[in-house]
Amino acid sequence: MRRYLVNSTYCIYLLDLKALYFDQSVSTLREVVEEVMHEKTVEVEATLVPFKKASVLVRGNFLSSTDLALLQTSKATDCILVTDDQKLISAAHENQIHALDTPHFIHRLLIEGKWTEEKAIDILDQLKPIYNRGYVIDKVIKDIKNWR
Amino acid sequence: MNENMAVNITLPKEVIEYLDGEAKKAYLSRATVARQLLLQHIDELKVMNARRKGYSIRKISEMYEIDYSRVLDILHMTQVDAEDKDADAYVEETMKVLAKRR
Repeated sequence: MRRYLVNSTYCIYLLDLKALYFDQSVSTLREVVEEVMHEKTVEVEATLVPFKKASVLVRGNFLSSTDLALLQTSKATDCILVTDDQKLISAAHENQIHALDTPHFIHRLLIEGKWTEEKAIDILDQLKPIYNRGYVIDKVIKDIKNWR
Repeated sequence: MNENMAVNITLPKEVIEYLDGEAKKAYLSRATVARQLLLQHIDELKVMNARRKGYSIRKISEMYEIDYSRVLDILHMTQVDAEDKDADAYVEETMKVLAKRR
């Protein structure tokens, strides 16, 4: 079973669309949940995993302590990091940690049979007007239609 | 501690008319609307510059005390992240790796 560790971007985007999804293979850190609850002032029911230490190499002081905790835990537990922060994805790349953004993760939820195609397309359509890189949504919708 | 200072600026007539229109709609003063727009634009510039230097969303939020969600909103409005194609390519690479692991 593939496991995913999600960042606040995923939670904030999908909370806004009332589509936040967690299961036993989709989890996050307590710091992320606290951050999201503080931002959105709502209760978040998430699958939590404890922070795990691992050796990660990062350049400069461009990441926060929670970013580093996500990288370390992803590496230590062999989880795929789900984040829409390009800088965190680049840091994951430099540390051989697999990373997906929310639109591609939605595609994975479809491939793994957790979401229907109708739901995936609907949420992607709703995500587009608020997403930080609109062209990614178009690309994923196209991939989903070709994958069918 | 934040210290506020007064600044007098001269603006074109059409800008003043725009500010007055917005002020009327929101029941605010012209100066308040001008201040809000200026602060909003400065936040956008701070986020864009920090992003281009390589700072993460959370780090920017902490450095400038701008809400995380607000940083996300600014990234959406400015689409500054569209400049970073390497991260996009890595996500595509991850999708391919996951597809192979079926």
